[in-house]
Amino acid sequence: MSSHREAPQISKDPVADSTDLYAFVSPDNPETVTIIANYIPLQPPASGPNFHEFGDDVLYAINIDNNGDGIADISYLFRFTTDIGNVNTFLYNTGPIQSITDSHFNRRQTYSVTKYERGLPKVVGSDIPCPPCNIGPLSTPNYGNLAGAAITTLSSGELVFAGQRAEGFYVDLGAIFDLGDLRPFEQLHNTFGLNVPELAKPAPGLNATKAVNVHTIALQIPKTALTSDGSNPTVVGARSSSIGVWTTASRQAVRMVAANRGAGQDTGPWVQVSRLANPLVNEVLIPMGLKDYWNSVGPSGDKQFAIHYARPELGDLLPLLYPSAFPNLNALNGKGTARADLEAILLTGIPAGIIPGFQNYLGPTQADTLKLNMAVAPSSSPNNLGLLGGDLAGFPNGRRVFDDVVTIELRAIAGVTYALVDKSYTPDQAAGEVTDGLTSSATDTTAMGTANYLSRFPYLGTPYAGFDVPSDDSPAMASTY
Amino acid sequence: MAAAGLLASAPAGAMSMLMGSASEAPAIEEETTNLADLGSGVDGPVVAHIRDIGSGEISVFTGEREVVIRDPAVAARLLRAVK
Repeated sequence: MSSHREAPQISKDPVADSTDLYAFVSPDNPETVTIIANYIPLQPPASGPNFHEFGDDVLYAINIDNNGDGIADISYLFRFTTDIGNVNTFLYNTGPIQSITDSHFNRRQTYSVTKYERGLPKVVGSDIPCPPCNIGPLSTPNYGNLAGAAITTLSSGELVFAGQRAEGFYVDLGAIFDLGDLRPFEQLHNTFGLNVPELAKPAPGLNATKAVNVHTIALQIPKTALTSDGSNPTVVGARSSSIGVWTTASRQAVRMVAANRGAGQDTGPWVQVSRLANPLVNEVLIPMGLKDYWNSVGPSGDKQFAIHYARPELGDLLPLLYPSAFPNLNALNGKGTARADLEAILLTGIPAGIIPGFQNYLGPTQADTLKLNMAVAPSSSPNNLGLLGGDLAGFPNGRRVFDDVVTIELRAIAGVTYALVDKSYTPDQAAGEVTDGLTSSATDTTAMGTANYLSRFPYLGTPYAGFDVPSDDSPAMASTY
Repeated sequence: MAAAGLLASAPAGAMSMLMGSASEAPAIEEETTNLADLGSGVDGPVVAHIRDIGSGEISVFTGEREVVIRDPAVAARLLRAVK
């Protein structure tokens, strides 16, 4: 998955586990950028009586670097508070929740937002309500109204939303982690010599994140509030047009679990336990022994991990798993060449001169942040392969909710993007075709019906209702929110 | 750094708990400081962690802060408390 269970420690702490990060110029409000950070992976919608919620004991953050040093120039910090109306009932809701202030909403969360800019904190929102989880037609009728009522404008001008959403990320996780068996190409897999007749012919992918929910923290921020000089980014070639974004979650240094109290106590400074910028990095590129450490440090120190970006293990595996498919990649690997294309995409941003009319280079500091050139206008006909599909508004120029990041990164690692930095290199034909098979075409922005993305903030779809799933795992019906 | 891994915790306003209970610890020097005054304004638990037995380096956690002190005598008293 993008980052759902990417490291041993954080996979045991889902409340603090970041799953996906998105950053894009808002298609319906192009003077703004939307940043979405998702947490709490793989939520079964039917999770009563204790439906999923943010951690009161977790410090969530969205960070923006606008000068290329890999250090946050702007951070938004989120702290949640849970209030229980009636502790003498086991019910999350004691009747239909008709409004976000409905007294039947028994276990509710609110949150505060503190904006740090150049190190100076300012509380820009407090007591902001979260909507309930989507339970079903009796408990949360007209869910769209509940979610819509939770969209708030901060005192500093940004839109904010925090609450449950339908998972928008899609991946054939079962196949990928069955030793790289990509179903559309499984007939080419070496199968380690095993006789597996069902792998003898291509098959469509299976989405492992179908019909689950996540918890979303979303911001819509004026572009002028993101640039280092307050200017409106209109020139694609200008360094100041690009930003780097990442999200973090932290816990306090000490947790005590006292006997006979049923609750723990935390104390001490906040310690980062989760980090996410570019999808799949810690999942696939960072080796097992470094995953938890990677989560604990900031992007300004990513030089120490650069070898794992420049010589990804998966790049070496592809020619082994698919012996006939990647001869050119195999030869490239054999030379021990550092993959400057991957370093640019994932660490520094893509310099000018690589892709005509485009750059999102933030500087030489190797920092895994999601780079977004804000001067690139939203695409009127988006391609889910982003830059690889000729759509400059998609990943790895930021990331939209529907971008097929698994296919994009598979193809990049398979060598497609290496040709951008070495004109003498010819990518293997398979490198341009490899996919986990979850989109019908490059213009499929529905992820084969995985979720109904919204056309406006917060863009991720209405969460799946517990009443419906799993018997009906079709996408949640389109709603205003 | 020696990994002592020793945690001592105390609720706010009860700093004396840092030293463990009298029944568990060997003789403890008489504390002359007014602990109640010291504890006022401390919100939540106070936790001490001996980071390095050799140097007596102790992390003291409270609220959202960590204060590092180097006090071999305090470290020794804490260690005696758990002997």
